Amino acid sequence: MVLEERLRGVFVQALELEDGVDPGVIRYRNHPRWDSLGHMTLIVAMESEFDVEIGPEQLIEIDCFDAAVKVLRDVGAHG
Amino acid sequence: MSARMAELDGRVALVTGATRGIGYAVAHELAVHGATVILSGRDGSRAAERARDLAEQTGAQVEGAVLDVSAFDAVAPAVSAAVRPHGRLDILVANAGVMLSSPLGAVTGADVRTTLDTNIAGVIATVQAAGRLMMRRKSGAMVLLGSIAGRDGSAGQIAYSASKAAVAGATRSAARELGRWGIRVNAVAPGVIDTDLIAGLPAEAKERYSTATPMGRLGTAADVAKAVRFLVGDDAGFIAGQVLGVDGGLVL
Ligand SMILES: NC(=O)c1ccc[n+]([C@@H]2O[C@H](COP(=O)([O-])OP(=O)(O)OC[C@H]3O[C@@H](n4cnc5c(N)ncnc54)[C@H](OP(=O)(O)O)[C@@H]3O)[C@@H](O)[C@H]2O)c1
Repeated sequence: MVLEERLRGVFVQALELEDGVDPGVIRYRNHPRWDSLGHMTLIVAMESEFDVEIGPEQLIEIDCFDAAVKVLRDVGAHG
Repeated sequence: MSARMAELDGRVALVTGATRGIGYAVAHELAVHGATVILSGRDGSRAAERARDLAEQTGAQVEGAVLDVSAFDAVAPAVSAAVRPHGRLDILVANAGVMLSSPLGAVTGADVRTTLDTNIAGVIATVQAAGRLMMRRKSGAMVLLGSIAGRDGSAGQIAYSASKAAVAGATRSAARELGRWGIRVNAVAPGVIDTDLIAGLPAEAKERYSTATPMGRLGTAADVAKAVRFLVGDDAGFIAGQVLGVDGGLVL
C-alpha cells in the first residue's frame, strides 16, 4: 500500500491534478493534463521517486494508475 | 588552469564513437575544459585504452565504455550502465558514424541498412537514452554530428547524405521536444575533415576540396571539437535546434 500511496502523490504532483481528481480513475490521453508531454513528466517523476528505470516498452504500458503500479513492481520498486 | 579552462567543471559528458577521429578530439576538448568524459566505442577494450591515454594526457577523469549505437535496443541499457556510477549526465555528443560510398547502381541494401542503423537510428537511440537521464535534472546539452552532405548531398553517398539530412531533422525535433526540460539539442555539420573517414579519398580529391574551401584547407578534428565545446557550454545557453556548419566556407 505504501507504494500506491507514494505513487498517488507522484501522479498528483507530476500531472498537476486538481483537488478531487482521483489518480486511480484517470487514463492516459483521457485527462487534459495526461497528454504525451504530461506522460514523460510522470515517468521521470516515477523514476526519481522510486529510483528505478522504466524502459520504452514499459513506458507505453503505463496508461492508468494500476498499470503504473504493475510496472513499478516489475522494475523492482519498493514501497 | 584558468577559469575559462574549467568551464565544464563538474559536468559529465558521454561521447559516442570516440575511439578516434572527431569523437576522440571532442572527448579531448571536453576533458581539457573540465568535464568528466565517458569515452565510448563499439570495441570496449579499445575505448578503455583510449580513455586511459586521454586521462594521462589531460589529467581529467576519463572512462571507457562499450556502446555500439547500431544496436538500437541495447543503447539505452548501455548508456544507463555507463552513466550510473556518475549519477548524472550533462552532455551528449552523438558522434558515431560510418560513411559507405557507392555510385547509384551499386548501392546494396546491406550498406543502406548499416548506414541508417548507425548514423540515424543510432543517433535517435542515443538521444532518447541520454534525454531520459537529463530530464531528471531538467538540464543538459546535446550535439549531434551532421554533415555538409546532409545539406548539399554528395555524389556516390546517397545513404550517407540521407542519414545526415535526417540528423538535421532529428536535431530540430529533439530540440522542440526537450527544450521544456532545459535540454538544448544542436548539431554541427562538418565540411571535409581530415580523419580516417576520408582516408579512402584520392589525394587529388582532397586537393580539390581544399581548393574549393575558402579557408584554403581541409578541416581538422580539433576544428570540429571546438565548435562542439561551444555548443555544449553555457555561452550557447540560448541556442537550440541549430545546425552549425564547420566547413571553412565550403558551403558558400
Ligand atoms: N571526417 C569528415 O570529413 C566528416 C564530415 C562530416 C561529418 N562527419 C561525421 O563526424 C562523425 C565522426 O567522423 P570521423 O571523421 O571522426 O570518422 P572516423 O575517423 O571514421 O571515426 C568514426 C568513429 O565512429 C565509431 N563508430 C562507427 N560505427 C559505430 C557504432 N556502430 N557504434 C559506435 N561507434 C561507432 C568508430 O569506432 P571504431 O573505432 O570502432 O570503428 C570511430 O570511433 C561521423 O558521424 C561522421 O559522419 C565527418
